[in-house]
Amino acid sequence: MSGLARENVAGAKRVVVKVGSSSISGENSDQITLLVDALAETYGRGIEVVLISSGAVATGMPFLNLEERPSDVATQQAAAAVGQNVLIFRYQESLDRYGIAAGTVLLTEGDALNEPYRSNTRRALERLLDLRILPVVNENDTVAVYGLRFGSNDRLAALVATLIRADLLIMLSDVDALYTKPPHLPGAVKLDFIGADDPLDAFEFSSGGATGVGTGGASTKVVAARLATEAGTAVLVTSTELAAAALRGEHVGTWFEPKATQERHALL
Amino acid sequence: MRAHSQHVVRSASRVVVKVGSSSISGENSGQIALLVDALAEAHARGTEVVLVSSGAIAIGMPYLQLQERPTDLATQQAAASVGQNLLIFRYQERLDRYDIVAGQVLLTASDLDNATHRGNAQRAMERLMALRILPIVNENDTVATHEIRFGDNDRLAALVATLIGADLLVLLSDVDALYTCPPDVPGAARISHVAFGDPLAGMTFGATTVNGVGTGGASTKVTAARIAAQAGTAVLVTATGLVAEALRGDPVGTWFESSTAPSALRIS
Repeated sequence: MSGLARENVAGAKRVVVKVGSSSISGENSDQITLLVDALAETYGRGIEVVLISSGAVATGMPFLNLEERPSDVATQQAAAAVGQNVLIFRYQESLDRYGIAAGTVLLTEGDALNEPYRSNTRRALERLLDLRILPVVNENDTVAVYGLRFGSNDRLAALVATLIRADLLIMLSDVDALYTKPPHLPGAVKLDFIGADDPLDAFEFSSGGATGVGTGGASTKVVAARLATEAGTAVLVTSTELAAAALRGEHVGTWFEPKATQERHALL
Repeated sequence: MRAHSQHVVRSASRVVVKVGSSSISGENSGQIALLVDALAEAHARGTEVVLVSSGAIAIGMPYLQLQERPTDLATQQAAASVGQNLLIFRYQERLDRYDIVAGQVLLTASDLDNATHRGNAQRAMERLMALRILPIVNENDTVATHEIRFGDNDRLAALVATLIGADLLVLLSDVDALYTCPPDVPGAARISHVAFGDPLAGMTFGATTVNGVGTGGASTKVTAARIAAQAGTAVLVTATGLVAEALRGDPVGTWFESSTAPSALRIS
């Protein structure tokens, strides 16, 4: 079956939205409102929405009296343990305006990849969606530190989108799209559409975030996007500011065409 | 001087306190204040305190518009996902008056069987305590399956106490101590002291079982106490209403002597 086409975004049934740390912490913490507005609008149209949110470490830092992101994993874990609570509180406070309840889902990669955890995680997420709760997913940094070490939740987002067979995964960061090379370099051209089998080796994707808070870069997005499109989930990469436009199906960001797959619901 | 041996509690440097769902949710939700006050008093003495708290499912239920405790695992997971946020929020609200910050630690039984996850959890908790943050631990119910559940948080608390080498584990419930038979049965006598290795022959401990999952009761406390005692942690079983007295070393509850108790906690 063929996956979601770009012109049909407004008709998607299940969407996973992933937001990066730098988009919602520090001086951008007010973007939570804008993001929640966009999610609530989508939710209000009857679409199932899952949010994957980074930002626990950055949100926790001030409570540990840290000005900079800690470089050791133990302190990052401690900051995440504190920051996750505050982050969820901020989301819930904003969601209260719409009468939507958030549910925390803290996962390790094994919870999304390996049986029996995988089926169990899918069942829990499906039940939350049935009950019209908004799942807010993050890595469980206390026990797993993949995201802390490798710099982003992009991969976790792709695994979750695949696990629950989302039609669309939207990855939000501070940049409006992917470019042929880092966008501050002369000659960088915005990428609009990437076909399921298009080669990407002609492009130069940076591996680090610009701000030092969120640590993912364009390259982790591309790898994650391909992981999702291989499984039949379309991917849109854009900025947090453009979340509402993206969810309405406006032509923004970089679109990754999903692979046509076997009937995805037949086997399980 | 057995009756007064608990004065050594005051010199314990690391204490795990476990509270059950029924002690802090529903009509007992007011007990959160009393519990936090007692924890803050111990924290202020310089004691490292870890709280293991159940209650996410019970607290989340009203937000799912469910009249009674859900019986299927998926709905329990959904309730836990929503309730965990509120549980932490309620603790933090009360901790604010003492300027204590809570850090959330969610664990599954398989995390503690996995060497990497176990090491990560241990490191994170050590760092949280070093930073004077109060770790609040719960089972990660949203991703825990029936097969891999701790079964009850008494066991989780014992494993956490062992993981971090606590001097003392305090197991709180609605009953002030363990009794020689269920306390509503005539002739039930309070057990004040259990020597290490005492088989407690001839005593009957009730189990509370809901949907085949043990959710507490005297028998899970005895089992958990033995796990902790074996690993060198003394255990005190008492009521949530007596937590302040318990943490001050007053002679309340049932005291389990540990195997290789640190000298400060050995009962002579």
